[in-house]
Amino acid sequence: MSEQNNYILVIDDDKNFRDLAGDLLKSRGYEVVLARSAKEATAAMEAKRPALAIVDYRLPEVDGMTWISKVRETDSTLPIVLCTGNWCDQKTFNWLRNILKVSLVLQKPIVPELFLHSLENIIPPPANQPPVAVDETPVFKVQPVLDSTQIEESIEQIEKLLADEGTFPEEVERLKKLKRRIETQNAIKKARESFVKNLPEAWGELTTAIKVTRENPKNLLLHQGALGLAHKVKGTAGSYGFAKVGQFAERIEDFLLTVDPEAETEQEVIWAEIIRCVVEGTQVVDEISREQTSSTETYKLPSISCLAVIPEGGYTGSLKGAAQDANCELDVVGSSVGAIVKFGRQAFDSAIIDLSLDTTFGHFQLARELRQSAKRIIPLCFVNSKEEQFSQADIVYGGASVLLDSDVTRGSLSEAMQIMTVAGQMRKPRVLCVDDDPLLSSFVESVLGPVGIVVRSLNEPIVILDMMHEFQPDLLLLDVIMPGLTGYEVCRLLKSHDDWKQVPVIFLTSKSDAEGKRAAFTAGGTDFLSKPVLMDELLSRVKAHLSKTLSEVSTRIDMQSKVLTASALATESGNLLDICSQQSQLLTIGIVSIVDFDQLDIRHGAFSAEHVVGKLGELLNQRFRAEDLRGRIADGEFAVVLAGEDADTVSKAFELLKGDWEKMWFPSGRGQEFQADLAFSTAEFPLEGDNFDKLKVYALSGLKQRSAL
Amino acid sequence: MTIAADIKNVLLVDDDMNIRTLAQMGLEGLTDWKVELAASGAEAIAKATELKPDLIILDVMMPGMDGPTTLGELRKIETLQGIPVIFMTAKAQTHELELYQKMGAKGIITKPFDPMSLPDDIQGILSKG
Repeated sequence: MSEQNNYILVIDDDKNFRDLAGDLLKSRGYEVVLARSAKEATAAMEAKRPALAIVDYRLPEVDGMTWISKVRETDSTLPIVLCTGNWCDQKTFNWLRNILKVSLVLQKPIVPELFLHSLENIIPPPANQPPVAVDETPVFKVQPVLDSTQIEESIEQIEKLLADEGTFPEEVERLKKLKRRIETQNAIKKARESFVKNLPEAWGELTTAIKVTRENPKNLLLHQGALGLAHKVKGTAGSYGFAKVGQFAERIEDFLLTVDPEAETEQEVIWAEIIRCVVEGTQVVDEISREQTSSTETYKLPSISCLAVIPEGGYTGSLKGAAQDANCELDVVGSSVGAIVKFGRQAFDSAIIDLSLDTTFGHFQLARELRQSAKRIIPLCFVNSKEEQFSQADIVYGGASVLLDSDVTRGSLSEAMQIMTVAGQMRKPRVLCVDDDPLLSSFVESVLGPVGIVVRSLNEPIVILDMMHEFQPDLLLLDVIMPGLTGYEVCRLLKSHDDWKQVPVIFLTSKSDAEGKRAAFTAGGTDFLSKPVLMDELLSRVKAHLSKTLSEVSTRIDMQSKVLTASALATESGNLLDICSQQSQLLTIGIVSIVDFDQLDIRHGAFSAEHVVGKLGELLNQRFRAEDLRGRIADGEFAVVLAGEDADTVSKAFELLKGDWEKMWFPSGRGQEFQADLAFSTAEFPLEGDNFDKLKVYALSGLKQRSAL
Repeated sequence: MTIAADIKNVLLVDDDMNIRTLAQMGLEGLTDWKVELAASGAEAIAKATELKPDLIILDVMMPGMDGPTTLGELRKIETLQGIPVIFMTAKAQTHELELYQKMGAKGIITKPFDPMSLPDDIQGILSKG
């Protein structure tokens, strides 16, 4: 066998970069030649063919891309890494990959650890490590992920192989090692489960200690005690794989360290931060312990849970039958007050409301109350058992995905439950799994699918940007080693992008080494899972990160108003329009504008506008049907998109909205409470436009005309 | 051959039971090392004198006698000279790292750690020499 070629050519006109890259590579034992221009590079190439070339995008005279195309005329296999100061768009990426056959695109400034890590995946370092990567056992590739039963099967399989005399000695060694790894990982998993049981207690202890310290700021002993507890939680929770909890504890520790027990002032800000960490940490801990208790019981959750608010002795029998048919977890309550109490305790996915019981607060108010306490837009079904007269606008605005008359049957109820399941699914969380291994992708789908998470797989990371726009995921699972762009680069790319930087990224890595992990976090990863990925672990981590995302920091949700952002609304509306045009259905976009929005802060004091926006978002979420889209299209402008409804119905629904809005008063910084006016306008598909943008423009122009009057 | 290959007995010192359990699982599960546990500096000194381990992993922040103090005491015992000591800490600032190295520690394992890669991390520290 010939000796490995360790010669790397670095081409960059920037001396600092050349030196840095050169030093880094030499430290790993590579042979490095530095070139300042394409001309020098070509000369160096002629002298000796390198194993790898690292090329800067911008070079004097002949730029990096041109140089690569020249090289490709004669050498189609040389691995080439392109470094660039700016991220390229999708087209450039495609061109780099397909035409120029670039192995990797790296963004400057480089992070040393990432840089080396990425390059070592292309050519292994010569000196320090033996060429065989012992950790990356090929068996992992065949069986990349293991759930609890698979662990037993795998061990059985390994034992069989070990017993077989035909197995090669080296193979025996490797199998033994693998068996140990699987067994250890399984043992750790169990330890983790019992650790979780004590986690709420440990966190509670920390919470109490902080409370007491805050009340007695001059007591150094208490301060030290709280510090110690934070420190401990940080070390243990993190080591048991609960990185988020560890991070909150770490922040608490850091903030506590900056609290000066002697100081008289300026401490409030720090305490506010500490309390915030405690509160957020508590949410995460609650979530984790809930996951753990529920995940052991069942993986296949019922498709939907539902609270029925119906008169006692009514049609409970039909309801129960329907719940069975529709795979629905049903709970029944006999009064609206009881319903609100139950909703406070349990998060139901949907509700059936008999309108005869919804009179305490006025019509459809119970629906609003339930959504308020659920903190999300649950699908609703109304039963009009008193045969009252309702207009379509009443129903749409009230939020009913289904309206049943007094003659309810098992069949009609079960159909209603199914419709609500579908309506609820429009809000399902989305996970994008970026991995070139189809086995892993299908495993992820099989684990996350049944619990109501929509999974999309991407095996070519280079088209990531297109995919992000199209799919708008709430979370990313990212493999590290992939052709074209490594996971680290994908992560950095997303983190540099305003639209996507909030999306949590979980790395899936077969390297359990500390360096890979560090690199994952340096790149901006939220968490990582080591391969083989365990089913329970995957589920609980994804859920934990998703719950955080969906509740507050999702890129699809506008922070102030908790409705879709303008870009998310455009995408979702586009999808809905496609469906409507296929089914020859109507669709109406309604725009709600806060009148004189830019004047609010000036007239009523700081944060007035923010407050009004928050309240309007809240009202929109409490009203309308679960399947309708709500979004914020500009500072003071919102849109509601309703499939199957005409402009007339939507206008009437807006009149009802106006009625609710006129009851709302906002606190003013100037002392008096104030009210804000709303203006409305609509555009109907296909009559007034055939895509979202056209419809939006049409509706907005209607708004202008009206305000001109 | 790495130094780590010569290791048979390891003494792991940490006041937190959860950490002791997890580290022991990772080490005993993935290597042939026998891991003995101690929950305090004082217990560590007693056990080290008795067992003469090939490696000591020492938590820095412990109530009573902390990690660095324990190391100082261990270094005074003649029969225990030359045993490599690795610190485990959740707070690793550069100046502290230097301090620990000056005290004769072989290296640092930072908390939180990954139990599955703990043996490799230790190997890495020991092979650096």
